[in-house]
Amino acid sequence: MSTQTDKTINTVLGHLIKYKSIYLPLFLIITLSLPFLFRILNHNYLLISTSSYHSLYSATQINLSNFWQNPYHLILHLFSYLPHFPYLAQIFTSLLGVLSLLLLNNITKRFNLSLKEEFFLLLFIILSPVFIFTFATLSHHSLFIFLLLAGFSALFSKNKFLKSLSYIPFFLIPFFDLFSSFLALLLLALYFYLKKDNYVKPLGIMIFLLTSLNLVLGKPFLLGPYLSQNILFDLFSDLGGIFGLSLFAFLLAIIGLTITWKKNKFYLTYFFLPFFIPLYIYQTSSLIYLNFILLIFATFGFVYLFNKEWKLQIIKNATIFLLILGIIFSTLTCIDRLSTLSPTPELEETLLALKDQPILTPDKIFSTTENSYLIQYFSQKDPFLTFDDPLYDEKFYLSQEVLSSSYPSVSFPILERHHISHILITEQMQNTLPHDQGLLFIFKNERFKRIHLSEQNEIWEFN
Amino acid sequence: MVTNEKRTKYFLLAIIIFTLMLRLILAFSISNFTYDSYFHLRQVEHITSHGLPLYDDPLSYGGRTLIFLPAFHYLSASLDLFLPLDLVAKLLPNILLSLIPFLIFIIAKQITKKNNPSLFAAFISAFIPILFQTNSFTPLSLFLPLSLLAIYSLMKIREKKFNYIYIISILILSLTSAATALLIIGTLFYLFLSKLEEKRTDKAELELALFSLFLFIWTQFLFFKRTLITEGPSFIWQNVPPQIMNQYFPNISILNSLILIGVIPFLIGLYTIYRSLFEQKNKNVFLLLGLAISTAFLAIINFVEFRLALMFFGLILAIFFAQAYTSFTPYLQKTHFTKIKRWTTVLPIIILILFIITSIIPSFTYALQQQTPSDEDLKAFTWIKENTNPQATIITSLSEGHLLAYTSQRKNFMDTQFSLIKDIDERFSHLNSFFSTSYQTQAISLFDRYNLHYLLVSPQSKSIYNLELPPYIDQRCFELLYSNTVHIYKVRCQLRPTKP
Repeated sequence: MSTQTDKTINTVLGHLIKYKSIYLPLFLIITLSLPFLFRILNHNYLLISTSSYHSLYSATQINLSNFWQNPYHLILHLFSYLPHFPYLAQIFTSLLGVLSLLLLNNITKRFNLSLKEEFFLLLFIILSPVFIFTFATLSHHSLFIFLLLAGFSALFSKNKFLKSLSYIPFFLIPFFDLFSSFLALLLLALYFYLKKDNYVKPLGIMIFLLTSLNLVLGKPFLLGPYLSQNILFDLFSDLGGIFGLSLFAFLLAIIGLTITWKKNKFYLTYFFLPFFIPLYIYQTSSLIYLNFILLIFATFGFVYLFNKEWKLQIIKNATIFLLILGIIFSTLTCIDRLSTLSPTPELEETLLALKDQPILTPDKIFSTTENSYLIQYFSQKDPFLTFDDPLYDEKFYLSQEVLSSSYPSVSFPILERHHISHILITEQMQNTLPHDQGLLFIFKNERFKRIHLSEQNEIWEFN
Repeated sequence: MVTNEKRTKYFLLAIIIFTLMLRLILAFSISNFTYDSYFHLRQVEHITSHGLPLYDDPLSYGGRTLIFLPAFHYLSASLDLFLPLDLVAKLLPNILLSLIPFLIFIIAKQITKKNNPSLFAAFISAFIPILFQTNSFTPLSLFLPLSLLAIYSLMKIREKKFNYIYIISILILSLTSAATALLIIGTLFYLFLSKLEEKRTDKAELELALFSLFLFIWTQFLFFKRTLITEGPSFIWQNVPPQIMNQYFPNISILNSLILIGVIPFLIGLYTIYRSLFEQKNKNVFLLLGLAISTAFLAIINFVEFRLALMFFGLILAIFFAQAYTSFTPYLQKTHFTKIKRWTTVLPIIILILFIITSIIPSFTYALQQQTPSDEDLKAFTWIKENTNPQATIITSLSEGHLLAYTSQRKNFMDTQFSLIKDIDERFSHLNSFFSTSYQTQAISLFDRYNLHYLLVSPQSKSIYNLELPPYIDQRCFELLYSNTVHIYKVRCQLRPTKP
């Protein structure tokens, strides 16, 4: 009975591995399409996450003086002249995901991985919530990952022309942020250490020079964040993080770490952990990099459990089944959450109503920081606070004061001093803010006038 | 001639029957159940009549979704088909907990291979004060014996049938209580300790530990997906209001632990743990050591409710007592103590006397001090069912919330199932205000805000808030509908809204 089950599993797995170049991209396309499909079924045709609208807005703001600031926004800007610009931008980003997977497939072949390891590594990457989030929303990480993989894919090639093509992606990489350059340099150094390929040297010098230039030009260390951060909450997708790790994959990674511990073959992989863990603490949206490393270990852990002779065969099958179910559970949780993320059509209606308001500079709109990019993109008005505001900490403190204070004597001077003329309240704010105190309570004051209501989304005017 | 084995069996049977009798006498002499039991009674009743748990509860917090693990409730509901629920609720937990001495005996015997120390351990486990809540109807009564069965199966892992017993017990445990994490983490910790100490472990142990870990996480995801996503890692603390967090996760108190576990098992158990850490070569003792250390650690870092950790810890310490007794007797033989005539009889008698003073008497006291509603209280709750609007929401003290939903079948303002309730701290402080504010306007504005209709002041709320009646009560705004030891008021006034 058990042997029969094993045979069936091995036959199916063998088939999947043999045709992985077809199945895996297909699987990724389905995974990336599902959040949009669910949104469409809910009559929501908007892009996923407020962070996507930061990219769209930034793309529309590209001009001769700032085109070099972010290659991703520059490419999106080219789409902005075409009809259905947001959808084209999304299709482009999702396409980057599929291409990245194909490039990864090409790169994994260069390492001494077994066919099972190659297959499960790519499968786990496709199913990882952070990977889905990166390519199902408009995120500059998508282009950076693609460029990095394209660069190394070209470098690994034996064809000289293809090798020379690696200059293009490595030339673009330093224009993201300083971290991107450092990571590219680090990986090139490792490549050189392993392959002793002198071709890397001019590439390294080019990146180094461009990074120095960017340093002088005041490039940030890491772009973003474009969403609120919580180190504990964001870590696991199963525990509420929108783009977190899968808890099952994390446990598999621990198993992978214990079995590969101190094996010479893997010491270079451990090398990245001290870089990516502090980076995650610094900015949780950088989890995508830690995710890659952890998934490598998770793959080793999984394949180890899969190949190992178990004393109790039935327990082995049940454990493997539970693991796969667990990983799929995290993926489905992520897809489900992405499909319901802001913005909604009702919020869009409210934002467009805000656009029609005669609000002149220096007047600003107050809302939570997540909504700032929606205000910029849909309403084309100035929000009080954005994540990339140079005075973020100070303004964030003031914003918390306004949200929590029930006293006009505290809130009104802040609103007046910062020229806040309108306040946008979203459904999410209605559900999370207290109604008998703080901002929602203070709306009872006669200086506030509600000028728009769509479902639970409201615009209040402050006189 | 009665052989030693047979005599042991008789003794063990006597301990089990004696424990069960004692538990049942106490359970039936106290007429009602502990306050938390009413939540589980209501769920069992619903499963019996509808086949499914009441996950969309229309009465708790005025209507909410409440997900819990239902194995214990299904077990009770299956018995409820043949017996009245009140009887099931008194018999089932006490029968299950009376199995503990048997399970402790077989575990202790597995470790020591000796009858007398194992019998002692069994006897000790029968009278751990904290387990002597005879009128409590909660899943813990299934969790504890089943955990011991899983531990025993893990010790006997080389026998194939115990593999299956272990798997089945872990499956039921995962569907009974999230506290199963204690067992799984403890087992993993044991494997880790064994690796550190370079002890050989059975391959099947690691396999079963991994399987149970993934099975447990998977079942918790299935049931608590929404809770996990909404509350994130803080789901561990069950959304308990910060004001009473100290009741659920208090600072560890040695004195409390001594009283609730019993002086002898606590001290001797701790000593054995200490010795085992450095000397012990027995693999099974190492397993218990892993469980004890991880339980203590999780309790210290407030990942496990203190009471639950203490129960689990108490059982492990009882097993350790057998180990200590076994190693202590040869040591005694080398001392002057053996010069005392019939020392083999004297020693057990000394232990027994000490045990009666430090464990059996506290167990009785603990059982008699159980917080249960009186018959007079129940009359008032039944009166509510018969004389108030079925849609009404009634204010009671926190602990009486489930009793209200079960007996009166009316909406409560708050009960002890805090999960997924928004602004729980605010709600709890408002509940306190209903009983303790001096300002009638504040109280009435809260009655208005939550659309509440009645206030119930019971001896329980009087003792919690240390008052006779809330200070703002007067005849003009609060009509007295029922008066006995319990007072029930109907709210007659409303506030008009004003602008700030």
